[in-house]
Amino acid sequence: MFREFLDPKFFLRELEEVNRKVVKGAEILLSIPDADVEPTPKELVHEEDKLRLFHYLSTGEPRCPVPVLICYALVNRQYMMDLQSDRSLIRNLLGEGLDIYIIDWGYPDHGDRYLTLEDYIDVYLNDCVDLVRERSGQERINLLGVCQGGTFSVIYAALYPEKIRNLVTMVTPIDFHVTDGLLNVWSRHMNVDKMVDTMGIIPGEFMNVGFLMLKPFQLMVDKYVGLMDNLDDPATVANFVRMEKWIFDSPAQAGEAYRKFIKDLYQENKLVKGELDIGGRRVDLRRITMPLLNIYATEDHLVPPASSIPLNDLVGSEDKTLYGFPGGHIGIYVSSRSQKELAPMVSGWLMERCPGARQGGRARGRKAASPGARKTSGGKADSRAGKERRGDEKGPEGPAAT
Amino acid sequence: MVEEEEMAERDESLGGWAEAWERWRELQAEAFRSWMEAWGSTLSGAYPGWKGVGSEKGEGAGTGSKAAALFREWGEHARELMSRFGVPAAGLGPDTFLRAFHAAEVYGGLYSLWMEMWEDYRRALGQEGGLDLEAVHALLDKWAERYRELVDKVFVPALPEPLQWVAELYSGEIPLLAGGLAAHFWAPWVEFARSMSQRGFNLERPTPETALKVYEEWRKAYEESYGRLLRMPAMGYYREAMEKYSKAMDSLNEFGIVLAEFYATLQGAGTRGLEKLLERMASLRGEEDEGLMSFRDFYRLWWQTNEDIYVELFRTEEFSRLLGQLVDKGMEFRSAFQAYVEEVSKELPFPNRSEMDHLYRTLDRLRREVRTLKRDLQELKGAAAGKGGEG
Repeated sequence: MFREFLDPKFFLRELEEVNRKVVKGAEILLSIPDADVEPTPKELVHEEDKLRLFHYLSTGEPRCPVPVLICYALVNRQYMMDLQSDRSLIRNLLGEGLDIYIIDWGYPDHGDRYLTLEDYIDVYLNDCVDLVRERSGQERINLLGVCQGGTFSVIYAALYPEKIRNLVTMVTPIDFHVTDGLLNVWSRHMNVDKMVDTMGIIPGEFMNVGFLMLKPFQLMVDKYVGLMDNLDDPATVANFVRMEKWIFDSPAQAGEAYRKFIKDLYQENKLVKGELDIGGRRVDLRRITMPLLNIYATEDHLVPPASSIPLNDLVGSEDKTLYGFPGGHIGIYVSSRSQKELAPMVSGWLMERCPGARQGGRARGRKAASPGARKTSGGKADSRAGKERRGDEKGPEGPAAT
Repeated sequence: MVEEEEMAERDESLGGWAEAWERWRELQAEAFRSWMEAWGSTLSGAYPGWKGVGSEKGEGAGTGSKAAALFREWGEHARELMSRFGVPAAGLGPDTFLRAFHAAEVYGGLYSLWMEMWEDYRRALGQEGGLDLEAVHALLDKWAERYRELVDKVFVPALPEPLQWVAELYSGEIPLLAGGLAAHFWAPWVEFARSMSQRGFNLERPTPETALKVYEEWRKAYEESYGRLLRMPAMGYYREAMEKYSKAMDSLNEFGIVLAEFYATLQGAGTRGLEKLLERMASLRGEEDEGLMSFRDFYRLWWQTNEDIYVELFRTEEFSRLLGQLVDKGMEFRSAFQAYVEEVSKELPFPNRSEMDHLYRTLDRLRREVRTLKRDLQELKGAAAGKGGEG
């Protein structure tokens, strides 16, 4: 029996509350400005075809002379990491004294259908790494890869280990034959050749349908019902609108690169098997000998932890850390817990491995790794960190992959 | 008695017109009744639920013959009636009337033939144990023979002798062949309809399982009929466009079949979600608060229950395969339709996708060449600078 039927006062109170929120919400939505994102100042330092490389402007001298290059995924946009000033991993990392560059892959169109995975890794990413090395005067730089960008970074680090000082991966798929993730299961039956041959580039909208199907009721129904609960709060509505913009701001995928990514990785799992070939060279993960920080999200529905965790067992690094962040694929960047914990953890880990690092910033005096991290050396990666904290704050989730 | 005498006297004075009028009236009544019977039989044959005139007699067959007989009867009576008008003017009268109606009789004969054919055909379709194509062919043979007789009798004499073979040709072999082809074409659909009726397919409450079976059988019928037609090679000036159009339509149908299966699968999950929701609500009733919940609680229970059910479905190998098929068929349609659009728009003053792709391919190759040349140039410059330094 519904309480509303037995308790008319309760029903009327609920009704009144909903009405108030709708009216107030309508007022807020009518007056809200465009969803402004990427608030942290940055300068354009390099352009190549549709790629743009930005350097974030810092108010002071970085504490670590070794810059961090962030390699984001081709899916969705890199400003997830700088969504708004109070939810910005970038801003927090800058505050910790890091010097940061970020790649914006742009929006591929039909003219980019023949771009290959080799173009992205051997040309675009490599050019960016070289440029950052040149600008910073550092022989080796820090590379931070996110999701698919993490896979790119891992491949790059295996191919060009001499250019990378430290490798940080965030929610990065490595083992594609896990059964926890729906994307992993679905992709096995996709005729990717026909998709690419037919469409040329894979539209972002097409990808989004797949992402929305991962949690159909949560992402297509409850998310909007949940907004109703907070419709009278301008800040919440503005945050929601920003997130909504990011979720559906989905670039297309360059056809040939997509073909190889799906076939060689999702379908044949060649990276884990040591069979991936990029530009005629075999990608051997054991060539990754630099320090590795592998961060996964314990509640990730896009890249399940089981897909990320094996990296630590596959690389040749002696110094490797596995960190399970309690949250989802997107919450890892925008949750309030992330703002407090993730940037200090990442910067602390990097500072520890930064030659010539100065004390200072918010991380002064901190231990490098937060309690969530487990340092592993040589042997098996320790994933207890994530499991112990599973069920904590998840943060807002969206359908899109990063 | 006086009245009868008066009537006889009046009839005499009218030259038999009164009697003729009475017979005319009776004939009209009979004609009306016969037509109603004929139509009633026709309708009751086409629509079993129809309870028109004559249907209670179970006279579904012979409609065409009855109609023809009625037509003939009416014609004869009209001729007889005409003979009572006295001496006709030259060229007019019963003979003229007869000649005029003779032409109509030709059409009446054709009409009867078609109607009989349809009734035989309908009986063959209605037989138990499936459609017997041989029986249909036997019917066609019989019908063709009668058709030939009719043509020989009516049309052939009307043609000059050198052209009489044309009428003979079209009275025998060709209609027979066409009829056989049509029978083959419709046979899968007859089987489909029969299967649906035997299954007792209930449109009021279709379940995903029954829907899937329907789609499966529909697909079989399609494959054996329209599918073959659309895959038939086209010819002539519009051959390319027609073939591409046919291919696009065929692939659209293929896509529609998989899409229907996809939706039926989703609907099945929805049904299971509803059942699970009811189970959960029933289990809540046993708890301390006697199952009291707010709308909000119910909503939460609703979406979370459904989410679990759908994700469970999505995890299955079967769904994954179905999703793959759906995308695959969607791509086939898109590709085929794109080819058709390009074919029919090639004279328009803008480049099509294939032409642009060719251009993109060239551009991509040039971009790579430029990149390689730049790198080589830099290396050469470096080498030259090194040599200069050494010198």
